[in-house]
Amino acid sequence: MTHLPRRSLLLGAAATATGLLLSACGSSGSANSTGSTDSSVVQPSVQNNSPYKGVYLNRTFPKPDVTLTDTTGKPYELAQRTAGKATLLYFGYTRCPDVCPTTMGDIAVAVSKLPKAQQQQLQVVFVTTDPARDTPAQLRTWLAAFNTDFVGLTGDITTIIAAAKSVGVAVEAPVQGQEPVHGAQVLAYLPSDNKAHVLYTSGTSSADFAHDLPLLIKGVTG
Amino acid sequence: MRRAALAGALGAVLLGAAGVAGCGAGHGTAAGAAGTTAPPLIAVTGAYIPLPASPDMAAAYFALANTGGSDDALVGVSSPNAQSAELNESTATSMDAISEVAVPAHGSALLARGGKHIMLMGLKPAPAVGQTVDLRLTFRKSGTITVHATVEPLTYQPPR
Repeated sequence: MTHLPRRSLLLGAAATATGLLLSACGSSGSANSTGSTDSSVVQPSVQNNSPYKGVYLNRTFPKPDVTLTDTTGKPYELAQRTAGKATLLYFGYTRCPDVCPTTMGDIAVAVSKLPKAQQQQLQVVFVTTDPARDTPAQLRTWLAAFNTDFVGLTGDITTIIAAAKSVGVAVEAPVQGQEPVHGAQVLAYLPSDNKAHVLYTSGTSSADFAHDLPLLIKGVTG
Repeated sequence: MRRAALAGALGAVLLGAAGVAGCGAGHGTAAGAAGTTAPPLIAVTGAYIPLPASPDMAAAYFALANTGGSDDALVGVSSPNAQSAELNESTATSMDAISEVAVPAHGSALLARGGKHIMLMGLKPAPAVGQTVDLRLTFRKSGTITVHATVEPLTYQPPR
């Protein structure tokens, strides 16, 4: 994958953050490669009267059909291993001072407020966008600061990029001397159909996650 | 935390006053021509560092207020406790280095999660909640102000 200009990536990410999931809608990321999103923008179909604080999507998305490596170094079949559980999926990197730890921290606080039984019905999955530096051991150490049950996944960057793209998250390979990228959103999958129905943009408060997690675990649809 | 913030603010006031003299010496004629514009007066409050998941990489946040009559800007940062410190601003999917944070006359600026922040790399010793980390903040006109940022829990949010 060639390096994309930062601006086009941002455009793609911004569009994604508003509820448009580019490649999954069949545009195959063409917006990113041309640097213009206008021609391929599909208006987001968002229900504003859903019970969720997050952005509820009418169009749902399956989990990435991918096998990555977990923090014990073993293969982790993402869709299979999280089937039947409410799942939060985020793409980020550990050498990220601000947004990644804030996002994971806000999720972790919300999770910690759930009764233990509900916590076991939820899986939080963090997929690195900087696999060269985020080894399984580094991921484990970093995630342990939030919640030892959070799953951390690493793997080949092209596999990770494809997995992210399949759910509309813009990731590109890290370039020497440039800051890596993280996902602009957290995707939330229901345990009932294992599809993403809700997304959370950066800056979603812990209170909003705490409000929504029990709904997600129950499989409430909007 | 309150005490550290107060100390920071007091330091700011003192240095702001010192800045007047320096400014007057350097721009005596310019100031005379422009009349009596009050210099900037910078206060730094609420400086904190969320306990980082790894001491390799942390962020510091604080509020800046300028009660003086001239614009100023935060143009540099360092820390004796960190290998490096940088002014950064988060974007939707990454972050960019920024050269300054403007603090207009009678105005304010906020470094906060998801926005402008100080990126601290290689903190030594590894921070622990309740400890403080010194930040040396250099302003274009007001000089360098040292504040003590308190290490707070990972998900701490300052009161609004």
